[in-house]
Amino acid sequence: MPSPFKHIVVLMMENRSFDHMLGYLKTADYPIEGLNGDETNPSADGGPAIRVSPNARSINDLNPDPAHEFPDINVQIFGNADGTDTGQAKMQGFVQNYATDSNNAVQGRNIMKCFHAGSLPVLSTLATQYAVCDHWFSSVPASTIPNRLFAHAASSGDSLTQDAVLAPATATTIFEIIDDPNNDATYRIYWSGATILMANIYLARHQNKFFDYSRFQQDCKDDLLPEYTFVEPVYDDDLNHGLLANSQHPDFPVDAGEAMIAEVYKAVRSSPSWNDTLLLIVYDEHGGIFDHVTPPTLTRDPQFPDIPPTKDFGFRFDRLGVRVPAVFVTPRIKPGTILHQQFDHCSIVATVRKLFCIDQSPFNWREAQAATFDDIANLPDDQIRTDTVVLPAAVPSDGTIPLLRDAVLSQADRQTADSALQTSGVLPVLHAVAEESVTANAPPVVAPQIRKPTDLVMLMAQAMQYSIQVLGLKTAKSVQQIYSAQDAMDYLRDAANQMGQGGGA
Amino acid sequence: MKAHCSWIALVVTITAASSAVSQTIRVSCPKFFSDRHQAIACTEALFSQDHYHFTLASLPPSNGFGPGLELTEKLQGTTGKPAREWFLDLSVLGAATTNGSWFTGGDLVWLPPLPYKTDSDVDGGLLLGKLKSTSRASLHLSGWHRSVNTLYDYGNGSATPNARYTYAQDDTTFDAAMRMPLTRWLTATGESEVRSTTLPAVSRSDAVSKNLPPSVIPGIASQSLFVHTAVGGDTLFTARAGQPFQELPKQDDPHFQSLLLFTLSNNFAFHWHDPTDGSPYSFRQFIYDGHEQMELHQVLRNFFAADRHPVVAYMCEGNKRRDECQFGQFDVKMRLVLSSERSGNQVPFYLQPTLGGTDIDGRVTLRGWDNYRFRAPDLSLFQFEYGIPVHDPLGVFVFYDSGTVGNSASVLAVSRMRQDAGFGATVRIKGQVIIQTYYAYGASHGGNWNYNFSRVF
Repeated sequence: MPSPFKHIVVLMMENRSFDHMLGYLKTADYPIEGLNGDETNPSADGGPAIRVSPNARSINDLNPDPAHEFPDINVQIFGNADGTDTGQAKMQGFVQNYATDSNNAVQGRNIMKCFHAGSLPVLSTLATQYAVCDHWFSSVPASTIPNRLFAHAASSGDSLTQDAVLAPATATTIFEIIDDPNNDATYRIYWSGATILMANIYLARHQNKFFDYSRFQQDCKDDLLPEYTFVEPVYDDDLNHGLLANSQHPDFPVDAGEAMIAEVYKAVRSSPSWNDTLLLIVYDEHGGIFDHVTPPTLTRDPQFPDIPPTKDFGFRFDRLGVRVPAVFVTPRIKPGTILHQQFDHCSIVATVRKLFCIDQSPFNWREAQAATFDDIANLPDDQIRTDTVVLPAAVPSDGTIPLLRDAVLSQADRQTADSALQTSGVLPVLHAVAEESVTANAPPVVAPQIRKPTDLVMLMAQAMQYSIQVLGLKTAKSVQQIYSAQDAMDYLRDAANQMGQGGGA
Repeated sequence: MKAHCSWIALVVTITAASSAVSQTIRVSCPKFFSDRHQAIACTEALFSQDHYHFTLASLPPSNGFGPGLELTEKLQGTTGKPAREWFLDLSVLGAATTNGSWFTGGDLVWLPPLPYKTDSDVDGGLLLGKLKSTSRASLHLSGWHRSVNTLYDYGNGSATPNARYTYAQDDTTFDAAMRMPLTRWLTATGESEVRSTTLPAVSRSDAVSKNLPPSVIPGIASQSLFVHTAVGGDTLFTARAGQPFQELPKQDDPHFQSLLLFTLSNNFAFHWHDPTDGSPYSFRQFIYDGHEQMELHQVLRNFFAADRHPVVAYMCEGNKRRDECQFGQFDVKMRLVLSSERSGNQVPFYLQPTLGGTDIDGRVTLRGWDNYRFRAPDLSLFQFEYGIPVHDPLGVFVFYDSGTVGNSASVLAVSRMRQDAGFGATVRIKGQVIIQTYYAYGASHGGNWNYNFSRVF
């Protein structure tokens, strides 16, 4: 059956892992390959294992930027820089690597912090209202530039590092294939002052395909979207042009990226071609942040062109990078769709080629093996959705952590806590659970009235709120109204008083 | 021949694409000779690395160019309850040029933590209470010193003989400027500056002080510390005009759909300049700068054989439906400076605007005339330029400039306008001009070639 998609729009954000962004969406009714809440990594200081926690903040968690070059990713996956697989437990080196990178064992714990639906409302809403792919892997266990090159050329040349200069310049990209003059398809690249694509020699000779992102919304309304559109975020603050980074690269604010995702969604939604358009929101690589799924290895198919091994590490491109979030948006998909199929950035190249190119010969064996997503529509033409998914506002970078108790505790912890609630020892159990689940901030140096609450007290407050609700009690404020450390302490005191009064009733 | 080389723009352009993750000197440069990739990466890093990098800076025209060092730092954080974000960009630059001139200075851009919210009605829209804008309020603080060895003066007015005299100038300023967006198209601006100018003695025989009487060179004998304040507004309108897109059946010839993009930028400000020592150089100025831009685009509405139509081959770089073909860009620039001196006061010659080539602040004026050729307290300037890509990345352009200076607004008549016209070519990489050359012919003056490493207009 021919694909219904006549337009593909790809928005590629920066450096976040799947679990970090979407892992906590997992429930019994939404069985993505996400988090149970009890996933851990060994501590860097010999202490208790560090558990994932749904308390990631828009900014200030990941400074310095977690390491994510090839040897670092090997440590994160295999526990050694060479990437040697001895049958050891995988995906256990994130905390250790970030602690080493930041030279701070406490900071290393932040790598396990994750968002949840309440703290990442835009992407979460799109994921649950359209389709989430829970097995989209970055194409190589490497950093931004190699992975972005894979998204355009199914190869990063012979390089795995950010210092590659020749590879972006000389790569043959899918844009060049689309440009076949006998091909009735074209493309646009929307950018805000920086894109690795402008370093490409071929594209530098076709600068009329680059458009300032400020035009995107109106171009969508005017039905100017071509067959293939690639959208670049703002990579760094450019105050002289009134631009603030929204790529979500740590430690730029995640909420700014959420706003951009919403903007792109609304723009595509406004296009007259909306019914024939597939929007893909995907991240280039995991940025050194925890994910629990071990990246798969690949076996080269010799009937397709090879990619030369990298000069620096001798890597044969036979292993994918860490999983990243990927969300498909189209009115041809049912709400709540979960795609378990394995994709990587080569899938973009392969799909665009399949749909829009005369030349159907893959660049190399990686593209040949990549699954395409031209067939993900699961609604027929006469059932195309006409509803408008309203996106909530992004949670601002204000340090508050709107936690949901269900998201804080694993199922096992929940049972423990629930049984504890049946007895008189409620608080100590919840405290213990909370302490295992959080990463402490640095010691405060400012007054609690103006300081952000620590993650620990926020988790305690969440636990208390749950107990308060179970017991049918009320506090003067809700946890969502906690802005400062003092607020949090006031809340805990109030909640404890309420429990002391009501609990004994 | 003029040689105003804006190397900084070149470096910024080359490294723009890699700004997502900057190259670093520490990583790349030790391997400079062992790996050609690293050699290129090292070169990039030397001129673009975060925190500190080299730069090739230019000072006012006729003073050469030379190496410099720039330190940069970006900070951001949150404050308040509920917390609000703030941003801070710091940079410090030092440079010396081939003729011994030098510059050092620093600036700071601060976006204060005002409670901006996203306005989803427009791309990049912001809400501050009831104010709707597309940019944030900002505070710019800067302080710098420049020591310039070679500047030229031809006397006062638009009819001065072509006799060039030399002077040198040292400036030290501390400046605070504020921008407060009030609407999506209007930004209120304010500025307060303390500026010290001194004119070092020049021993050359063509020194201004030795050849022109002080009556035509106000301020040559002594210079004052000035306090300069300004208030004004910047307006920015963008608009597009075009027909709705409609699919057409395939045709043999290209079928175009017009798409015009307008960017109208007009800025005005009232300035007060007052010497702190009571010397007779107090004056006010009204300055207007306008830059109206129209991009002439055509959207292809059909798909046809690639090589059958020369217009498409050159203007479109493609032959597909929805390919956007660029039929050029038309720019109009206007500048008006009106000065008003208090009774018995004059505008010091070194604070008077100039026409000809490029002025001391790097502003392009009458391209067919020498730098600083005409000088007086009042000025009017009109510039027109039309550029068109001929074969990416090459483009050509033609231009016409007309302007004059005088001692009062009433003499800024069309009949006194000096004029020039010319043509040139550009090489555009990464969306920006990195090489520009043009020939300009000044009426009753003659022609000259000019080359730059950025778009100078």
